[in-house]
Amino acid sequence: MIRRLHISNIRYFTSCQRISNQLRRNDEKLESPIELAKDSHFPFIKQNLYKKQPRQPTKKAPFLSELEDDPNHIYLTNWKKKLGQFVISTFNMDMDRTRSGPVAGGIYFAECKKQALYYPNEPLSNTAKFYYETLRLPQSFSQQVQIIILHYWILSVRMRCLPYKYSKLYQQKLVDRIFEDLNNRMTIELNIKSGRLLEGNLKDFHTQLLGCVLSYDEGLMTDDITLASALWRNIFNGNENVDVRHVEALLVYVRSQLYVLSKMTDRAFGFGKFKFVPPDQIVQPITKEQEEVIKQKTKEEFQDMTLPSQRSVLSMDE
Amino acid sequence: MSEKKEITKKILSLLQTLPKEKIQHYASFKNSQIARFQNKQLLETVSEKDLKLQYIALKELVNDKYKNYYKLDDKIFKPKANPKYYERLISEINGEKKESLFTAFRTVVFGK
Repeated sequence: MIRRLHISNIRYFTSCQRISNQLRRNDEKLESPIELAKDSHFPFIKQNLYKKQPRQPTKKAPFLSELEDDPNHIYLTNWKKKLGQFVISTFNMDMDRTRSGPVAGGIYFAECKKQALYYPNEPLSNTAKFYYETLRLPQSFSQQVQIIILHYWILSVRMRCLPYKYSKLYQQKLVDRIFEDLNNRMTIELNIKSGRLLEGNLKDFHTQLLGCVLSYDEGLMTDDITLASALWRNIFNGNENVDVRHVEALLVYVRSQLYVLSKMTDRAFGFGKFKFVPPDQIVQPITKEQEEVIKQKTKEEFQDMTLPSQRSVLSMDE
Repeated sequence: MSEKKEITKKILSLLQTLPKEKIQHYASFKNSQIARFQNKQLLETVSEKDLKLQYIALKELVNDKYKNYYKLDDKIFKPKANPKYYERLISEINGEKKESLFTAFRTVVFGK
């Protein structure tokens, strides 16, 4: 008995050693984006971007909406929930279609928005520190928009992998909510009252969004330097005095997010389970076995979701 | 100083190898960085260690270190909703295959 245990321990140890060697090979000189960027102390030269100082928020608009931001708000009472389940089941409603609104326009929109959100005289969040303190990007509304667009693109790459009718819906809901929020924030926070100005700004942001998506897509399909150039043009505002190490750090951040998304199943992604990995964390590639474990866990998690509102046709294998 | 010159030379030769951008943008990473690293005044203010880091960062990007490290598969490159999305985009950028009026109309109507 003791001998058997002993042998099994050795086997366990050697297999652990094999895995750790494999990880070490993969792990060569890998650092988190924030550590990578902090390595360099290249002299910072402020970019001359604006003719006059960018307008800073004077008020705070609700993060999602007053109703959604209220932690004590109860969405539905029990009888309403039951009635809802009855309606869904009777009319055989397509819940994946219905879910695209709250997931893409709610959960994923909040994920995009919170990354670079800042208000004057308020401490920066950890992710905002990465952009404004580590990468030394200017604190402005248009800079925030660029970072939101980058996160939108990361999510839209994964949304394209959903079945066609849901893919379009998820992307549409996310874009609609982003632009609705930009409009609100320009009115409330930046105090822009002119409709013509608001419309002009929104059109500019939309053109920027199209350009960014094209450039990032090209970078995704070609090589690191093309993607890095796209990030340099859009996020670093084409700053000729940029610290190349900072561009590299942002590229690592983007690639690692895409990797995590590619390993998620449609079901988990469609239910809004994705969160952007903070820039101070390292994403390590996983093995086929680990991927299978993730799929198994997803299946276990969704096995108990049997209510009509929790129905879904999204795959748990891809 | 000679060490710094050596690194700058390496950076410049690496930048020269970058491919020409296929789409005309408002700024070129390649050209702006070549001009910057040719500026001797600016380089005097940079330490040797930081210059080396710039070179390493550029080298990692040119060698596709992160593209290979975070390898993506066909799940991403051939999306279920539109499997030829990237193929068409790249052929359009490379100028290999232009969208005809018919294919453009089909994209608008059917979305793929």
